[in-house]
Amino acid sequence: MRRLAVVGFFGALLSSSCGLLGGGEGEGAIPADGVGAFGAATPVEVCLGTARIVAPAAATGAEALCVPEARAAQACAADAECAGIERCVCGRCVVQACQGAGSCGGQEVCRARRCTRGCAADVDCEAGERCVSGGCARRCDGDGDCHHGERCDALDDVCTASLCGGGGTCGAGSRCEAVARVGELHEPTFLGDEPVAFVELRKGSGAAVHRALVEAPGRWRLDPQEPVVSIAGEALGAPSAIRRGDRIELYVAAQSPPRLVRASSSDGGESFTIDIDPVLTPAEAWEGGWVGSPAAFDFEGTTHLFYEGGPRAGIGLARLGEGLAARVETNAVLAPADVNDPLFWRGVTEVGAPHALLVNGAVRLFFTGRGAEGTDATSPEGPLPADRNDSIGLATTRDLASYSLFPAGPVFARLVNLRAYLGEREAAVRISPEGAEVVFVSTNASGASVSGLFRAAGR
Amino acid sequence: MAARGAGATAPAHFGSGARSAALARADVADADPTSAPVQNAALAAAPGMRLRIGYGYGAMDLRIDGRRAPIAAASGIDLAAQVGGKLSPSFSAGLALGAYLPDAHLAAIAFRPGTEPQFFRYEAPLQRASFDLVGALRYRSLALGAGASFALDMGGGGTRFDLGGDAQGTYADAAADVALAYRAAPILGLSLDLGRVALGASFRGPLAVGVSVASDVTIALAENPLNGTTAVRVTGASGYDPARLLFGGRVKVFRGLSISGALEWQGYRAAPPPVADVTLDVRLGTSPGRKEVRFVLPRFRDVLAPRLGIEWVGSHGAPGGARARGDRAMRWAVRAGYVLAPSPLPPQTGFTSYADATRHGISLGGGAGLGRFWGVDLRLDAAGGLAVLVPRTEQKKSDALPFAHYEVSGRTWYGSLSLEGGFQ
Repeated sequence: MRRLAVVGFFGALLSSSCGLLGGGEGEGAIPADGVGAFGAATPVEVCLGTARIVAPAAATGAEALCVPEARAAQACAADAECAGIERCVCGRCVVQACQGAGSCGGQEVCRARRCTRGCAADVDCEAGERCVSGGCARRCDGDGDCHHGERCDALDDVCTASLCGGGGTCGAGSRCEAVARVGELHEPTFLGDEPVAFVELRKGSGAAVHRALVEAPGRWRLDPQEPVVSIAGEALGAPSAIRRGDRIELYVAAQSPPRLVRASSSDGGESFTIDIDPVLTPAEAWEGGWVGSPAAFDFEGTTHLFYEGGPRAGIGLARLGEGLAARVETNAVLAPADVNDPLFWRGVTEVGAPHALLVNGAVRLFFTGRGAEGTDATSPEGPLPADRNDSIGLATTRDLASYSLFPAGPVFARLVNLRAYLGEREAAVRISPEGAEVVFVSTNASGASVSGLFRAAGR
Repeated sequence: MAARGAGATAPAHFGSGARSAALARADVADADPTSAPVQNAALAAAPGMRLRIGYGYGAMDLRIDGRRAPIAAASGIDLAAQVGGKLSPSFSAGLALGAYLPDAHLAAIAFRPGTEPQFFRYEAPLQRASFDLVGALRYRSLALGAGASFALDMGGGGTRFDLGGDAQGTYADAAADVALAYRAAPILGLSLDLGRVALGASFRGPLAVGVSVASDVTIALAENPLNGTTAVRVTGASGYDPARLLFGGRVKVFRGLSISGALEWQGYRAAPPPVADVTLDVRLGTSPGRKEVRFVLPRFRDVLAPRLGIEWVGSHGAPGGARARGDRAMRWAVRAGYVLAPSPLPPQTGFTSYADATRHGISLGGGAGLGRFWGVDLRLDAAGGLAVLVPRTEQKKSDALPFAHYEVSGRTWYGSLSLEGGFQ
């Protein structure tokens, strides 16, 4: 018996060593709580039907393709699931339409109205392809041999693409399918923890509010395709949403005249009814006759609104009740001078685009500030002042009277090539058990060129 | 970036050997000679030769806001050897060696963002191998011991990468120089065995795995706008084990029942930040290019941890005691222990979010003398323990800091088996 105990002990020792009784770590790293520590930003694909919304700066003019009538695109979640030169656009594999040199990325070239691999001879292409006018093209006997978005050219027996839309038409047996819609997306906002968001879409001089279904962290789909809040002849935008049981309240900025309005929906946000009377109109000197970008939140049983005045002159606070909202403070609760920091965020001259959420009893106010985070430098060619750019800041409050700022400048800012900053503005932040995420409008440092919506998750 | 850890190695945390673990490490006055390197160096002077092999497994269920933290279990093999002999009727001397080999690796050196919540007492320190060597001299009832605990530093010249162009075209050169230097901390021990009462004291110096890693990249290509040098230096301390002073005694109450008590001082005030310092020096045509990241000292507090152990030995004697020829009687002992381990962590107020709480630990165990096999007196010991963290809430002064509010809680389980052979 004793010998058995000894043998058994050694057996247990040998089997338990060498890591066979594994460590059993927990559920993964503790997710970031939304105060800094955001990772790399990636684009958010916003889809309108079959088309991806692209910013004017990125538009190539190739917005629709002729596709065979009877053929459906293969569903996908990423480019790797598509064949050949197809790309995953809004959940469907389709070739990337293009027009003009430089409209394709990487090593691809624009030939026959779609991006394909560049070539000098047939040997440079895959098996079953030919090199036509410097771009690889599949040999074909019929449309079925081609990528989705291509048709078989009966003369050359190779696959080519045809653009349509804007007056162009497709031949018999094919239909025109949109792959890109030009527009600028602004002021995204989430509906609590639900996979629903609202966003402002600007096309030309007009703007309206759309509902988006969050199909994946990096893909939103505008549903319905028409705006859910609009006024004929007037730009509306900057939505902020609150769930009230079966109803959704949306606070929106209108332009003519500048004011904040409330809209309600009882069908899950597919349609809204706008209140006749505004909830807030400009009244204080610092607002400069302009109010916009509302951020609604509930605090101690009352709905409040942060809003932008100026524009970009600061952020004000109002309390909602019956009728017009009552300002909590006559001055801005957060002005550029409050945000300016000689070390971490210098020369801040603009503050706006508030976004509010309640975490552990504290109100977090995310905002856009324009200043310089980096240090000035010199190069052999001369001085290199730090780029001024838009970045996301954070202030918190527990009493709506005193505010604490994130002590190290912006809570989210992107740096490229060691010194060049990009612009981030109009952020919406959401915190879930899986972690935090921020969705924002990406621009260049000057803010003149808008890239679209981007997303960064907490590390 | 953060190098994890300021806390005890596994033997110092759970106990060296199953007997010490069952007694919650209250056995500074009468630890097994094989546990002398960890518990009290002076006890290495016991005559005889002993070898011990054991295995311990500690499961971690430590939580932040109810979410389980990603902390690996602490498991590994415990090896110990002790040899002693009488120099004269009054004098005896001995040596003892203790080693702990974690299952997964010799040491875990990892960096995590400094703002991320981290259980600094339970991460890297419990994943580090330990090697302790002590010698002792005993005169009648008084014994003195001394030795050292060993670790390795990670340093050296670092890595270097050069990319340039010459008459033959573009060239690339790379070199690496990594050195693992020895590092040691002193161990001292004192014991006084008066028969019914025994007293003991033990001191261990602080020890950690020092990290100093450098990486230099030089680019010199014709007409390249980004020519220049980039140097990154990372320095820090991983798996810091604080200085410890352990005072204690053992009283034989009656008929095989003895009570041990100890008070352990842990010098956490001298602990370096569990967060690595980083220096980034980029000289690619612009100046300034140097950036430094240094976190403030953590301001940990020294703590006093009381320990209590009870052992009841059967009528035939202690399982590890010497046996006369022909003595085949079964020997047994049962043990229990308790430790109150206060947290050295002050309230969190800044960017860092260390996680820790006061811990109550109870342990149970037993031992059996298996008899003599092939001339060796074998004994088997087992222990199990549960430690519970008293829930602790951190509320920083500003909500605009990372993890301004979080709650720490959790528990750990530990089990160990030891087999010791005595060569009389």
